[in-house]
Amino acid sequence: MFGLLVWTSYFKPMKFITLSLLLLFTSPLLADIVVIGNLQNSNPVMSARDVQEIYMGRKRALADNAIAYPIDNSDLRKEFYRYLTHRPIAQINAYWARLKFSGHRAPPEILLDTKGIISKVKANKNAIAYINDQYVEESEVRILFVIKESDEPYQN
Amino acid sequence: MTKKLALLLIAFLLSPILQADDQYPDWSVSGFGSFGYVGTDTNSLGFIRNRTQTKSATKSGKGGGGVTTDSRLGIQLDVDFSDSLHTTVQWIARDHAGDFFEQNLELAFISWRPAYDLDIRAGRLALDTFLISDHRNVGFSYPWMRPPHDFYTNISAYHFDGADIAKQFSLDSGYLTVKAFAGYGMNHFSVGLGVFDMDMPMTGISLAYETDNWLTKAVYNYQHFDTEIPNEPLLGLINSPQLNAVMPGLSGLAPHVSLKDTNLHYMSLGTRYDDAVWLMHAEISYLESDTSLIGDVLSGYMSVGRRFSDVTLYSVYGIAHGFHRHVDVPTPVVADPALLGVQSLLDVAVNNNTPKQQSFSLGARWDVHPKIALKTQWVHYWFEENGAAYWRHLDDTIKPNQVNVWSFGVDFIF
Repeated sequence: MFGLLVWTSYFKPMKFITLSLLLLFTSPLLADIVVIGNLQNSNPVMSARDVQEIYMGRKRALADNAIAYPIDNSDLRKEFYRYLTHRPIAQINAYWARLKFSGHRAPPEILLDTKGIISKVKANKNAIAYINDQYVEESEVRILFVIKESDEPYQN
Repeated sequence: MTKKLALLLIAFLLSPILQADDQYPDWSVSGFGSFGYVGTDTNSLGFIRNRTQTKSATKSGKGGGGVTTDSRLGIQLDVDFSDSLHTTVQWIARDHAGDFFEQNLELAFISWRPAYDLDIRAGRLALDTFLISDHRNVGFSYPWMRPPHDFYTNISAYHFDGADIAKQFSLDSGYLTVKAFAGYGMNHFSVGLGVFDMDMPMTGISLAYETDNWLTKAVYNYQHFDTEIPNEPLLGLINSPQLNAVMPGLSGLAPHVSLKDTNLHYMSLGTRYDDAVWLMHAEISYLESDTSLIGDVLSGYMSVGRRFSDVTLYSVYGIAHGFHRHVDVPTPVVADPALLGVQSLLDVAVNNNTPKQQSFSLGARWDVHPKIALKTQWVHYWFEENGAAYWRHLDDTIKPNQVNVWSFGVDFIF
């Protein structure tokens, strides 16, 4: 009863709407991120280190020695790299600027929408990508690695 | 040579299109740029980033600064024809001696990856001889305003036309890349006597070991001068019978103002550490030269930086020390002012090309946006006598032994 009184005394409609909107727009960040691959991907699963090395361009091949085709998800990029490398996007961009503009390696392609990402993974045997877990259909793509919302950033 | 390169590119560009699948060709346009101001507290030495630049930040007798030295804009076209065939073309608008369009064509190559661990590239390639020599123009990729001056001012060639082959090995917890390269460098430099159209065959080998936070690289690079610096005015003086009559032995200076048919050997070792908070670069190089005009040079630097959220604070210490043996210019038998002037001029030409400088920098980088960084840097230089070889000599009557350089600017990618 006392709790309800406290709650009602603090309840402000505008604050409630603002908080709801904030939760709505940040909700993808609060879910798990899954790293997905084509159903024919030669890796049954991947470790955090595998994913990190492929996305940083050091490791180039999948289990069958095919050249990996990593795809970035613009909505989740910040959280994904923070988990894998502890680095903000500015540092990731600087890292890839060195490799790309010296003509050595190209960074992962950045795609804007989840449907497009899933389509690309379905179409390319060597593609890997990461999306919010709520969009995964296991009949369409293979889950290679899961980053749980509660996971601490990966340590080598 | 340029026409052959263009034909080669067109041939490669067209052939894969005929057999492209739905995903390919896949192309993208991107770029990078820097706009910066650099100022100095000297009127007699002109600050340059390297010898390809035609303008120095300091203007004779005016001091001050300029925006040309640290400003440039690059645009890059990448085309994937398949998952193993790719082409890149990059052009940079910047202050560069020689042909504006041809010299600023930095990259134009075809790369083929027949296996995941093997890369073969042919065309115009960036010089990959030092830790950051192949991305010196991309300010966004490093913390400083410019690559350490004591080390990189002497590495003037940006690119060469040829091929390289790189094989990657998985080794322990990292990756070892062994690369061999060979080609022909055609670079234009701005030297005291005019534009030096430098043609040089070159070859080399590099070993690079990369882990999560470390990159260590060792390189050997051989270069040969096929062309001569524009030394006709000097040779005209040196070989003049009249001058030799009053300055006996003057003609013996001819080899000391020549580069043609001489060799350079670069040996370098560099390492970089970056754990997302601490950032360290260190590099050392020894340049062995056949000619006293360049001389042997030992150079190195060490940079340490610490990131505080979006701001990186850093310091750099650098050194370049040449091992030039002094060349005696004959003294005129008559103490005529004009002849003494010739002696002084030739002395500068043969004895002022060896760097003997050290520097200490403090600077900051602020990533205001994931693709935009603001930077500032202060550098203090010390010179030994006649050691300012990496600077333009605007007034040889004043030879400062210390100079301050300050700069600020913005780097971005798009």
